[in-house]
Amino acid sequence: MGKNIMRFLGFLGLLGLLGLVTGNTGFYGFFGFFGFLSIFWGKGTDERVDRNIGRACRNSFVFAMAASAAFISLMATLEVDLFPVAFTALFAGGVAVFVGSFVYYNTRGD
Amino acid sequence: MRASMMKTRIKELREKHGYTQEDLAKMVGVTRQTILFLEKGTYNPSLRLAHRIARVFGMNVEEAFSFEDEGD
Repeated sequence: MGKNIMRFLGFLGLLGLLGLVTGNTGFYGFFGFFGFLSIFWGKGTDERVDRNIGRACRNSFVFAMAASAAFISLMATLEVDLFPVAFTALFAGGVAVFVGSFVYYNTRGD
Repeated sequence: MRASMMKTRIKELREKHGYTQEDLAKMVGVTRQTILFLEKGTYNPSLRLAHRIARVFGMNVEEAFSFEDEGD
């Protein structure tokens, strides 16, 4: 049973400290990544978990591609600067799709 | 189209040998939740995992697992 490499995503939580430095409270959302550090104390991964992570990543990738295409089309058509909104939507949406998909596949089974 | 599901005798064999789900999970290198899903019939194991489980109980894969076609 191998260790889940996603545990290293937990260190992204340190980016939340930028909120203290810059005064921008939006950075505090990064503290949520510390949840991934719990994987260090977990039982590890196996073929079923790896398969469900793969499925969740696939869904997140499809969402990112579709959302990127939509935002690019909007910005080109309407000639407005949507980069901050697009970046936030892609990041938060991608994470939400991944987490939701993983929970769904983990609960449903094959 | 959902995958054809495997029927297993894992729970029956596990209890016969006096193993807990945790014991069996450690022996074959998976999590206890995977053993739970296998016993419920909601997870199809890889051939390698099926072989490991069958070997724990001293039998062939065909004796521990069988396919149940659900149709389309």
